[in-house]
Amino acid sequence: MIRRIGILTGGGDCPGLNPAIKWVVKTALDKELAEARGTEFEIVGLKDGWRGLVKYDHARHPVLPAERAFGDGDYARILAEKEVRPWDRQGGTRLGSSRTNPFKEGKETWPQVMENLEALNLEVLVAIGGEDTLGIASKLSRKGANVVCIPKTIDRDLQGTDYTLGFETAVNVIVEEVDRLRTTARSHSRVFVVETMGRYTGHLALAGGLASGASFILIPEVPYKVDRLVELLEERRDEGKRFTIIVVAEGAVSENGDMTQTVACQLDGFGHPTLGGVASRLERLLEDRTGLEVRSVELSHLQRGGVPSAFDRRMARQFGIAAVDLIVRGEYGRMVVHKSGRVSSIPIPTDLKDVRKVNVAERYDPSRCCARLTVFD
Amino acid sequence: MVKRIGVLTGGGDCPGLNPAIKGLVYGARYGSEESMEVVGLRDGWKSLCQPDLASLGPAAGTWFGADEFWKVITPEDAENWDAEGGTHLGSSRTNPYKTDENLEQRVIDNIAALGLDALVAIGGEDTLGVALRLSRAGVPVVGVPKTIDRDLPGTEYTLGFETAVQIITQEVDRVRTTAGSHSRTFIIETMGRHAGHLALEGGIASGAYIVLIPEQPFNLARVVRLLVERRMRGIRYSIVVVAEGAYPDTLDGPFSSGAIRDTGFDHVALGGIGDLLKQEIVKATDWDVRSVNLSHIQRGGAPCAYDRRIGRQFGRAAADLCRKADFGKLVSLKSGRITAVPLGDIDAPLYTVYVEKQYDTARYNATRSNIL
Repeated sequence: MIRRIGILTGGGDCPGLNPAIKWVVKTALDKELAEARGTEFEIVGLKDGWRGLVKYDHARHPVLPAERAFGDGDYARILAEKEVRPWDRQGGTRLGSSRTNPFKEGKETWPQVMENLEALNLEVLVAIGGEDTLGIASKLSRKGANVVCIPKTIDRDLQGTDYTLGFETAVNVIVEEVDRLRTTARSHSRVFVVETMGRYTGHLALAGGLASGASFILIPEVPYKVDRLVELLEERRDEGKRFTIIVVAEGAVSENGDMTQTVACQLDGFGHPTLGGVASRLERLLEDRTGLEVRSVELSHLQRGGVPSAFDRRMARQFGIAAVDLIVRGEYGRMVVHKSGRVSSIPIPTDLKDVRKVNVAERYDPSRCCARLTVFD
Repeated sequence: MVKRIGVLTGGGDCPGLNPAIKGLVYGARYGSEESMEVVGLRDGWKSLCQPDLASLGPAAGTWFGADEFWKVITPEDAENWDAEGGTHLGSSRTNPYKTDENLEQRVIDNIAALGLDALVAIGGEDTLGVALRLSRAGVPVVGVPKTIDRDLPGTEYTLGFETAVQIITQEVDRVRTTAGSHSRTFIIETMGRHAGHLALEGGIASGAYIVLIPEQPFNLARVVRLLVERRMRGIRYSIVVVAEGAYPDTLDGPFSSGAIRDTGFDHVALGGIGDLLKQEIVKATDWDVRSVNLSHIQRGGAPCAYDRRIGRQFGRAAADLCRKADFGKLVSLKSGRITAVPLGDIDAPLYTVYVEKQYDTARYNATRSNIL
């Protein structure tokens, strides 16, 4: 009997999704492995995350055969090995993504999802996503659906795992952009405030700031003090330093506790506000207070774009393979994780909303506004 | 109390050395109230092997002159080093324990003359091997591991590896478009003398069809058969990644096109297996096959984000060990965390690919299941 696996990607895209899809497909369809396992698989790719499973219309738009592109109204198609072969070199997700929330209050569509899982004859669903997408997977799992999760988010703030797909590529983007800004900062003796993503956690800003050699790093976990920043900038100026790079996480808060949000603040399907604007705010504040020339740059979606780094390609492969291993063993309701330098799996955490924060005592020096300068106490 | 730390980089250079030096300098200066000073030693062990090293410095200008071998490195000097590849201190393959002349006492005297309370050696098996012998002779030493081969025992990471894998990936991305356009098979030769980590992870990341590693001698007829099978499936081209130390099962050991000997540590320069493989595949198939030896490109350029971060952290950890006078240690990454292990751990056999678990000897590629 051929067992059918569905696969979808949800939430913000990032580099690493396509290689993960490729390796789920390649590993599941591998003929030699099929023989060794004594079981054969078929893979159905679902378009646009959870929206695909809500909107799938079995009567009018049944599953497309392999190598047929999605048309209007199509939400499911068979994925073949040949087609996914080059996907590991590609950023984003070829299956598309959305922020559709089948458990949105008052607009619950999850019963349709359950119906469609059955109509599609999916024994198990592989969900690749962050806190929202995997939160839905967790709820569906409790309603009886078989799911296996692969974690992704450039914020690297999911519970239970030390790594999430997309993070390392995003850090590389920050480093490359700061390398560029450094030459212009030095030429003009300027202060550059570089804003990274990261929402309510500082992992991305801290790793990006550390790797790019930023003088100061501001993270949401530790409210920043403008007075202290001014002091530190003046110190550098008095030491004859021509320029300064400050990396600030979009969710960084001032000591008064206000988080900067873009003026026309929109809420997505999961009720998240759009963050951003802290760099340009700091630009004005610091320029006024120090008299130095300050410029701000918001790296924004550049951090999620382009081809995956070697690290994300390898990790995505390992995650994809591990997901299929779980399915072969019938271990459902689990999330693939990277913990203590190894790939393993845990039950899907039920508290995904409760994101993992930077361990400030271990990693951050609040007085110098940068990563801690000691590793061993 | 440790007040003055000497630092040197030895052996083949790689991206990550400069971030490590910066991490050490900043950690030494700002890591605690009692700040320590860092003295940069020029060209690896060559500096400490100079007669009367103390008179060959401090370098007078902003940087080392021709006969200058030491200089105090300040945070101001090192501020932007983390973005830079190679090593600003220079490197060499000088070995103080060369068979015909043992310079141990001179090294020890030079360390005393410079007033160094600690020595940080950043290097691979050779450089750290010297550090270990000095440590056993009573010199206060801390080691920091680097090699793009990632085959040092005692640590799960060595500086330079991730950047090298990233370079292999980017180069294969480039080769792929021309391979596809011309229906060619490309052989990509990577570094990796005794261990296949670089080839295997580079091959995984770049999606190579076949990866050949030193740990598993390959059967040429099987390589050709795999390539032919793939072409029969209608795929126009193939990428084969081969480690410089890989060899066919008809030979007894690694292939070398020229037996150039490395000075100091008696290594035979490897290389040329890519060309050999190309010739053999052409003989068997009459296809258009090309080989590219990535060679020193794998060690060049700016460090990737990972090497910059780990480099900085390794350097800071080395400063911490010096401050605590915890010598004879190697900074190491274990189970995803930075820690320190006895320097003597590098005496264990090289860390190589665990073929049974990680390598599929039928497909000549990484395994695709962790449970079968």
